[in-house]
Amino acid sequence: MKNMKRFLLSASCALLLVGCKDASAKLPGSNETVMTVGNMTITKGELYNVLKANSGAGQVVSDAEKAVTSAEIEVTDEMKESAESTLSMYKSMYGDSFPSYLESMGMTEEEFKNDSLIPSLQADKLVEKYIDEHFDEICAAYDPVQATVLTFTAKEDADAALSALRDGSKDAATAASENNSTSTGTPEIVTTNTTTYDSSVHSVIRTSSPDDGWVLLPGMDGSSFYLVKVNSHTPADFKEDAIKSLSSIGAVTSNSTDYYYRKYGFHVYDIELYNALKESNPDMLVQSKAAPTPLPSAVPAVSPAASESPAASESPAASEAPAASATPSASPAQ
Amino acid sequence: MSSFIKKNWFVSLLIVVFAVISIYYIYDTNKGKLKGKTANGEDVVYSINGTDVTASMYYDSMFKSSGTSALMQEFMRAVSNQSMEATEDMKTWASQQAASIISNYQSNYPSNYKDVIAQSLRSIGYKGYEDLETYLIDYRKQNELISQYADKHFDELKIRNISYLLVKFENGDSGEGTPTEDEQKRLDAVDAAFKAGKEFSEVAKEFSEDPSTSEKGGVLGTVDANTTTLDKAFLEAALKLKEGETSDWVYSSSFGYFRIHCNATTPETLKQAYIDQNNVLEGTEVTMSEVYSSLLSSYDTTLANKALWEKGQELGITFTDEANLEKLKKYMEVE
Repeated sequence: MKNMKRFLLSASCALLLVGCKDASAKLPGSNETVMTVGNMTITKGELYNVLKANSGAGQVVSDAEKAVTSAEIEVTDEMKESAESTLSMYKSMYGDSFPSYLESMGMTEEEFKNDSLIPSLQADKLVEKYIDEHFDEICAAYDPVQATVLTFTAKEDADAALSALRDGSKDAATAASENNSTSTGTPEIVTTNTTTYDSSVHSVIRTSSPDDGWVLLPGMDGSSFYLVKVNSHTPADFKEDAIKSLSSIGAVTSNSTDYYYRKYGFHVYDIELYNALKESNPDMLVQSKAAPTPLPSAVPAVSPAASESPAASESPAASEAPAASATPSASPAQ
Repeated sequence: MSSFIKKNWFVSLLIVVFAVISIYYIYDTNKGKLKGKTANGEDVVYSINGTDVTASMYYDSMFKSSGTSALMQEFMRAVSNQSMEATEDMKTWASQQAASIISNYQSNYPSNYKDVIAQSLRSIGYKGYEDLETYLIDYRKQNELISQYADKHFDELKIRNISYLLVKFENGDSGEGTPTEDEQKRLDAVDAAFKAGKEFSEVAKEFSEDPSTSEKGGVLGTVDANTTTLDKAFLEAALKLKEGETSDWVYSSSFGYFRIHCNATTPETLKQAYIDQNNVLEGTEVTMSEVYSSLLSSYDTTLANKALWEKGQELGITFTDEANLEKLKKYMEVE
């Protein structure tokens, strides 16, 4: 009975000590002396803590990104040339201080080019690769359309430009510049995430076809006028531009990060680093979250009122009608 | 075994209940905790693409890119801490500052202010939140140490407080310091004002074409011979002046034509210049550390390192790896 009591007591104590702490990676040899100043000894462990607090998360982000990009993106001759030219630019820009900078980073010129400049170019291509591989799914979610949009602040200017465009006497760029438009007249990619234009423009872009030609419509603020022409609703026709445009969407880059860090099994085993990454790069911490939900299908960025307006009509003639009906009193801004 | 259980059924039942509770307890306390990993007998920090990055690998990687800066942080902490005994004044100041810092952080980060403070302190070599006052005392010691160094090397550093006025080039440098007709007229107007007996601050306010200083009567602040942020010709002329003297026109190919005035060249007059230029309330005691503050922050960025290095040598510096000593010396520009 006495033994039993001892057993229960020891087991209880042991239970209290059982791993109820988050993991923290210990550095071997942390008691080794690095330097001594007077009576104070600085150990490798103390230096490790300073390094971790200052650059711990940044180092992991950089090293992990290199691991992913080197596995996914091939280094092309174009990248090598670009890195070489960036290096030359830095050398001429910073002159004598450039070697000291490299030295302070613990790098030679060659290492800077191969371990910093080229990986950075590879990283730029990673999101694009992700979009390319998930093109249909992402296009279904963000509905990229290639369109030309000219913005005017006076209806007379918009009318004059429309007339020149319809009779074919001017191209979009000339019609824009000659009629005080703030636009360049070059085709662009408009997704459901594009915030440059109000919902009336989005409505026309989603519902017009290339055959409709130029459509004139007033802005929802009552002080802007738009000429819109849809060039293509088929993303495959303008894939390269669509990829570039989609890569600037935050949710797409987040999903790309999630995808690749999941694919390469990124896993953190140190609580301090985990918390630091949670603050700075939460997308990387795939170990703690479920895979992202499938992308929703595109929801037209248009208010019911706008979608009911004649601006959404497929008839070019009818599409001019809202210009007249869009009195200030009809504007939501009122 | 079965006869033992039959005989001690109650104890056996207790053991079973205890075991079940234990298993649940272990499960529950570990639920949601970050689990560790080891590889080749070492703790793993993270893994990616099948590679386990151990703490040693992680340390080496960080040390390569930021090791010298971390050595510098530790060196500064060690030297400041041992440079002198903390005075009662330092302790009182540190205690008041700590209370104020905590209060600020409490209002900005109500739920985790201790963690935020601890993180900042760890990045400069302190253990954590509990070291806040130690850090503040070390900070005061460091300022005092730099001030003592500047006092000791005062003549060699040619520390002085200066003002200036500028007549800018009209359309860039006309070449070789020969003023254009219009520039000459503006230079003459300044000379006439001096001849009329006007004070330098008055003339600078009226004629200087540098709006960043003209309002303050041309006051630049305290500079020394190691100042690296000023035009070379300007600094050379400023260092030649005696207290109260005004230079002749100094041509700078980057800016135009300067007249420089030396306001103070001794600790006493520097203190007075600091009081006058910063509207210090009468009766407030000014320390040399305060007088040197703008010199350190804006002009002589090497002064602090030199002071720390000199003190470090006095205390005794030993490095296990001589290469690290060389890196630190280069980083601190004390070779």
